[in-house]
Amino acid sequence: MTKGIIAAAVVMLVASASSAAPYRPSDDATVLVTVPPAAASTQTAFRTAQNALAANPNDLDLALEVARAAIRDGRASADPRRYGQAQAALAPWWSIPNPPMSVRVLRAIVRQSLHDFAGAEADLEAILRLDPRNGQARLTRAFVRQTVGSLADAKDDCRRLPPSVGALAAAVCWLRVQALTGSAASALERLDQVIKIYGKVDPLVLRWAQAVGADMAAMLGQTEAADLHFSEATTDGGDIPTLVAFADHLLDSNRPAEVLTLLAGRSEADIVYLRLAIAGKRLDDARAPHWTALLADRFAAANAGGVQLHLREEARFELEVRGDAATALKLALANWKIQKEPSDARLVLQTALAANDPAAAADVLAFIEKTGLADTRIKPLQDKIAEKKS
Amino acid sequence: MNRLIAFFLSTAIIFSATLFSATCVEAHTQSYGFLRATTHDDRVSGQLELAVRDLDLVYALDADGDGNVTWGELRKRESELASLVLQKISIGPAKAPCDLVPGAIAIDSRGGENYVIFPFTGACEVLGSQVRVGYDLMFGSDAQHRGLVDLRNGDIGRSTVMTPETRVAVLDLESDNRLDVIRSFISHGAHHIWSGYDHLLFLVTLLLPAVVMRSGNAWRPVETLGGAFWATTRIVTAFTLAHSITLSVAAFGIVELPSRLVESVIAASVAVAAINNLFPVVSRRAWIVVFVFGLMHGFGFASVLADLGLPPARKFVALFAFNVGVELGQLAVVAGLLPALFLIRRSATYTRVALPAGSMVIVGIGFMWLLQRATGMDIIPG
Repeated sequence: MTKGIIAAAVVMLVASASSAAPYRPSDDATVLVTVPPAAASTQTAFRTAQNALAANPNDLDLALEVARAAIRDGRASADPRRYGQAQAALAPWWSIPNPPMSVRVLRAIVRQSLHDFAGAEADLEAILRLDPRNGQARLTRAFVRQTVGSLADAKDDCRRLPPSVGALAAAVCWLRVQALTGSAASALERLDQVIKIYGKVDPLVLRWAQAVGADMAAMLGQTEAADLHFSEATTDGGDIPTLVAFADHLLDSNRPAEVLTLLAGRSEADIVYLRLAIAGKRLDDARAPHWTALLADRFAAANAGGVQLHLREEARFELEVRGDAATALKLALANWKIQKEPSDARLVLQTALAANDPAAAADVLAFIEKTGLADTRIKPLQDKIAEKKS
Repeated sequence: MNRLIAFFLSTAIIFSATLFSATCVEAHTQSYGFLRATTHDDRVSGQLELAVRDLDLVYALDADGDGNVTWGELRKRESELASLVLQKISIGPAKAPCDLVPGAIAIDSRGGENYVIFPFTGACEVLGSQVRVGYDLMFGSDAQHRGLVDLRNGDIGRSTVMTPETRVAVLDLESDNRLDVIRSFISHGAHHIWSGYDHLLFLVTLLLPAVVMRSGNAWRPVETLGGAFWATTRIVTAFTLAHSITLSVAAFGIVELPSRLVESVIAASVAVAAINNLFPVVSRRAWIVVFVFGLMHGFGFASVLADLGLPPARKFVALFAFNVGVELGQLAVVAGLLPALFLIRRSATYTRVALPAGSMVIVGIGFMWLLQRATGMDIIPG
């Protein structure tokens, strides 16, 4: 089966890479792409601001308006293009060392989205130096620090959050660091209590808290609790990043069919197609070769363009879809240099095992040792590597 | 988790209530443009590929605002769009890029997205092995846009990535094969002598009186072809020697002269040589004057070579080959012109009409070139 799919994928790849058949549609009504309808008031406002900015690129207010709208849409749709649009709007201030504070906040968000965590942290640092009680900046920095594995610093930020961020957000910040340092069980218990008390204050923060809780449950191997939290987090249809996290949980619990249902028609984002390709491959779905070819095309373009936004996805693609363990290990290690979340650690262990190179996991094992991370999705991999070494 | 976090934090930071409609989820991948082209000596063909989504962002394709960009909406603006996007790319020297002519657009799918293919062909001045490419699409609206450029010449291909910081690149299509370098630079040299009217005219002006001798106030035909041949050889050799020297020192950057000065002196040299035909001041030692002016012509050749770019690994070979090409081109002119002049040298029309009238015309052209090069006006091409 695997070989058949790989062969099919290769054929599709070759066919798509040579982009053999440009055509002129015979029907004028052929839809080439769907875009936000110009009629929608938000879109009209965005276009108007964008045109005004094009005529007057140094107008700070207009630039902020366009950048905010682009980021707002980018986060909902997981569309990397939107962050590039925000950056372009802020171009006159993008490269200067001390931009206005309003630009700095947005630059930090865009940099984080582009995986420039050091740049994001520097911007947040500058904001906090002037305004140490800026809760949003501190909260953002706390999570940037969690992402890059600076857990002690992250803890420090969580501790110093001002009341303005709200009790639930502050609790999520603190409890997530706890979970990452080996105390997931107590963190989850506490999180559930906090959700009961403060959950009604802000639906968006609640959705976030549920998603974080789901991840903690998955870390503990509590599949049903994770299911429950994920369905809570996606009751209103959910956003793409939450749906993708849910899909990963479903793949971990070996329920690929549910992934196809969950993500069907939801988005054309890279992160979504990866889950579809993995689930489709496991199910021998007829669409799997198409998804595979499409991702291969996109990764090829990203590599040609020197873009490193997708290392995590590309590593999983190589490991779980194409079955190229050596390449996957290389990508997983490159990704580990940039981000150090449990899923990144797990990817290194998985690929090191698959590539029969347990020594490559040394760094990650040391990190786990140092932080005390205990994750049921990772523990068996640690054991296997220990076995191989001995 | 990182994406989740980014999601919620950006939410927390910039919006409390105003949410974009989460239903228009049409999310994708990063923005890429693809420019592929095949170059030949003096033409280029290729295509530019841009995502329909990106074109919509910049050129607002969704005419009826219903959220669907249709083929009809695109097709109606086909020629406008093609010329707009082709204006944003360039292939060839900055001063004289290839003149790109759009072909009929088409649609293709890449990574699950529809792209518009803009084919083009173009006539260029001679493209060397160092081809300059400019790409300035989308960067104003999307700072993460990347232009992936693939350039090909024969079986040599080079790629590069354009970014907002790098909108121009010079691709080195130099062959690794020494013979290819020699062949191509000989042809550039010969081509330049033939297309550089000023050098050609200078040479012709010098050759016109080679079949006759000054005797008193009148021209007298030389007796033998051998005599004409030696007179010519002296002149051509002096010219060659002189411009080879300056071409080399300029090509290696040892001496640099402002191009306006060089071009003006070259124009003046044409006029002076023609005046000397009308009112011979220098006849016996003409080669010395030719040598002096030849030095300036060498700087002129060097500027052509600078536009072409010497392949870094084969600088000497290429310079030598270019020089050989120039000489071959020059010899072809001599070989064609000299026998013809020799045949008509005895006719009265030649010495009394053709030679003076021709020289007069050349004086005029030389002065006009001088005027336009010294002042920057555009009178006649040269």
